[in-house]
Amino acid sequence: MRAFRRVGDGVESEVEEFEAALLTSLVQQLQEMLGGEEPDADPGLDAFQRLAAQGSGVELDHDDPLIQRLFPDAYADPALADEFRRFTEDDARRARVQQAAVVLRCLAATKEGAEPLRVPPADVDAWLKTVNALRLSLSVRLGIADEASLDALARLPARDPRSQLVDLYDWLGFVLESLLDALAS
Amino acid sequence: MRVTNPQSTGDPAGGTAIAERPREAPADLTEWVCLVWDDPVNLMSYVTHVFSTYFGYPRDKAERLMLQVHNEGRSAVASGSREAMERDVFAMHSFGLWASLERAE
Repeated sequence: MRAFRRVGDGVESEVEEFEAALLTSLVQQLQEMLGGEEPDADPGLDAFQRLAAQGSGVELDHDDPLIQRLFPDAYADPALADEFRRFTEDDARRARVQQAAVVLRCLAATKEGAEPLRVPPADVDAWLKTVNALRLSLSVRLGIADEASLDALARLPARDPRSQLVDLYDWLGFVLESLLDALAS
Repeated sequence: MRVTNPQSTGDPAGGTAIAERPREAPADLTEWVCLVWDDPVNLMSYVTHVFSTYFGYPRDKAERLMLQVHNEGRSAVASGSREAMERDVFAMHSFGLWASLERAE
């Protein structure tokens, strides 16, 4: 993958076929973990029925450390944190699923890397948040809790199975940094 | 063009029902702060970008706050009403930053 460059108000890059496939697969995994895209609301339902259907939404697994990382406590007081979560979490979850869908759409438009990867201004936010969420996801799988654990991973022998995940984590860091550089240019 | 509400000039007794409603609790004037906590994953450039685009802070202020998070472990990046700080914390979480709100000291 080349570094992103600014083109007009948006940014562009080129991706190899395997990179487009890899990124697509990572974003799909994230989307599924967040409950996936919901089918469009049945137009036959009235407003109240639609509201009731929404209420039965996806329950996230709060024992999953990645869910804890993406939806952290807003208050030190557990009761206040739970209340905040009850009122906001479904909106936050839906937003993340939609942002993942935006990224998947941009990736699909590259036709497996044959066309440039174009991120128009309206999609930049979704790209930043989603690529960052993928890094957070890998950091949880790699057990990155502090600077020391990060340093230890950098010294893994090449045959360690985790070294591939570390490479992926570093690559996502490059993608994110390159997006930010192009936006600032 | 209508300049006054005709109902407000009518029968003075018309306001009775409203007067019997319990008065709203006085607005909570406590100041709250939005704290962002350090973590080893979020890139410094990303955190600076979030502070400058979401809060509209100039680049140097965004960088100073980012460095405070990095060096001191946390920074109060905004202050205001509880509702406003809940919105900011919600936004910080949406960017993947580790944020919480508490009463200002």
